Amino acid sequence: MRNYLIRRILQMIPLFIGVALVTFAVLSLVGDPFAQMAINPRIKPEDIARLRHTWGFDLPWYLRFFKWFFSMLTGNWGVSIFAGGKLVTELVGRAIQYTLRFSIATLIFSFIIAVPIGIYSALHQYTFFDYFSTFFAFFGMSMPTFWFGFILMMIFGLKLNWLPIGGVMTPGVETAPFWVRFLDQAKYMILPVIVLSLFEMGSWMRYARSSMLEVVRQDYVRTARAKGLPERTVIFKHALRNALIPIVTLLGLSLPAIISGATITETVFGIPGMGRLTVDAMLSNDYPVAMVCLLLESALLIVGNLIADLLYAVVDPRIRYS
Amino acid sequence: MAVEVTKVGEVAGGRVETYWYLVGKRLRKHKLAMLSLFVLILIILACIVGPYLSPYHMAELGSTGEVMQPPSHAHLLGTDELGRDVLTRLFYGGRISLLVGFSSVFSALVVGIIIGAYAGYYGGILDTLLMRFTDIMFSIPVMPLLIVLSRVIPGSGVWKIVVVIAIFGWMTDARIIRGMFLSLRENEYVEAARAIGVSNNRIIWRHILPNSLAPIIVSATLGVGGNIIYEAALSYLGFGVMPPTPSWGNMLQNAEYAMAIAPWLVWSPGLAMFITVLAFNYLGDGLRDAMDPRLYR
Repeated sequence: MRNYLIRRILQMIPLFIGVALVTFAVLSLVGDPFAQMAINPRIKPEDIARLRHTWGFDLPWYLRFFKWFFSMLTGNWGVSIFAGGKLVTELVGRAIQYTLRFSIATLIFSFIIAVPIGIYSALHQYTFFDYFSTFFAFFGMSMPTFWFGFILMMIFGLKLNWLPIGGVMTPGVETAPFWVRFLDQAKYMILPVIVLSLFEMGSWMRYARSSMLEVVRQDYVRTARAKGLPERTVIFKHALRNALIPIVTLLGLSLPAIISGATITETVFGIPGMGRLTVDAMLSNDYPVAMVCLLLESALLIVGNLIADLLYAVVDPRIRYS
Repeated sequence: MAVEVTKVGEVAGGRVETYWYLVGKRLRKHKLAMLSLFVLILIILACIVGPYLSPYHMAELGSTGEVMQPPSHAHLLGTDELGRDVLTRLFYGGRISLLVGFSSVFSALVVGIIIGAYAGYYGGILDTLLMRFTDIMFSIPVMPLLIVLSRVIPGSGVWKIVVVIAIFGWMTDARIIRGMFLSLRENEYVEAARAIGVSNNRIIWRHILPNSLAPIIVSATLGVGGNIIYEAALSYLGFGVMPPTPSWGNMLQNAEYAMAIAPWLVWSPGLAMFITVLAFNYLGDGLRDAMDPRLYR
């Protein structure tokens, strides 16, 4: 196990550098962020040249990459080229705070609803409930998120006027007492969380259903029934525990999505989260910000994969890594 | 003298019970998948034929009185902010969205098959290099890079979007194909082919590949639906198919601002897209069931 872990972690390093290199190369295609300044006659060409030099845009992209990469390794994540020279950590920190609030709510909400439904419909295969929940899962997975967002905004925001159609809080509420602030911000979360959950629920439901179906066909379930155990014991102690194994490991794979933020949903609802920050920084080639956002997501993707594999061994004693 | 030749796999009744025949038979039993196939054929036909039947052109501007009209007899799905007929644009948009969906999946498939086949067949250092590259591509956040690439690659055409989506779409196919090749290359028929001196390329493309297509067909079917949504998302953000060419996605981009006064502009493109993607997903699911021999033991 320990050797396995060390080997996996060592394999991550070249992978991570490779990801950083490819991402940076694509980013450099956006071009020189200072080119537009030349249009403004009040900005002196010397100043533009100085800015270019400071940010390494007078170098080929791979040299700029190495310069940035080593300073990142030493813990100096730098400042944003734009955004008034704010620290990258500060910008990312604020965006993550918004993204986390939505993604964690979505994860909990969709997991709690979808997994029991998936399990139940596996136990009642080919009943009306099963067909209905399967349809619901496909419905969720086929729904374009931004369109679903529009529809919810039209119905609950514009027509019924129950919920706000965008943003994260009512202006001016910052000074209100905690509970008022909390309820206000919760109101802004309802629609985005529904949009994000619908898709998530679909896939969780399908996974839970197929995993449970796989397990109830196993010999040990038949044995448990044959020796006369009550159905409840068979389902909850013998089948369910084993069916949950692949589902739990999937939690590891949803790790990057918690941090990265959903660009589309954030755009629809005007949430200043990680998805928007990443894309906006990339489009203006604000590479110190963009690279930290992108690599954070990649790192979580890579680590999430490892965690999923490890969780697999933790919850299933039959699996041993060597 | 006439010689009667019996094909391998032919049974007494004269019908060839090949693998694909069985898959077709099972698929026909899957009601939802068949319904989806029917709906998809209908949608594709409508998008091809529709524009010829419509009295309007997709870029034909209406007079001032025709701007943002709700559905009526003259305009069955209403008109948009420039007075263009929504139904006509829906047909044209469908052509574009389906074209992007199909061709991006096809391009990704070609790349994925080539990489997966060579990696799986030859193994060794080639396999390691190709698969590490696949790992890297897999670990890159897709959505932000899709957006940036569609912005920086010059041109405003549909093909740009196809290429951009395909760049980030081949990795799953490559892994599946590699897995199939790894197991299939040990089979006797491959060994037999090698023994009679068949070249490596011929073994890869004529002997192994046809036998490893089943799982790929499922992922391709699901991929068409997924890529239609990718295109729509890019177009919605303003980086996809550029107006005046309509696609279901960029029709929604314009509709966002008209939501309060012209909800029909939101409903029709989204619904068309949703039904199409739903049908692809059901069809893919049906194909998966039909091709999975484990379910028919």
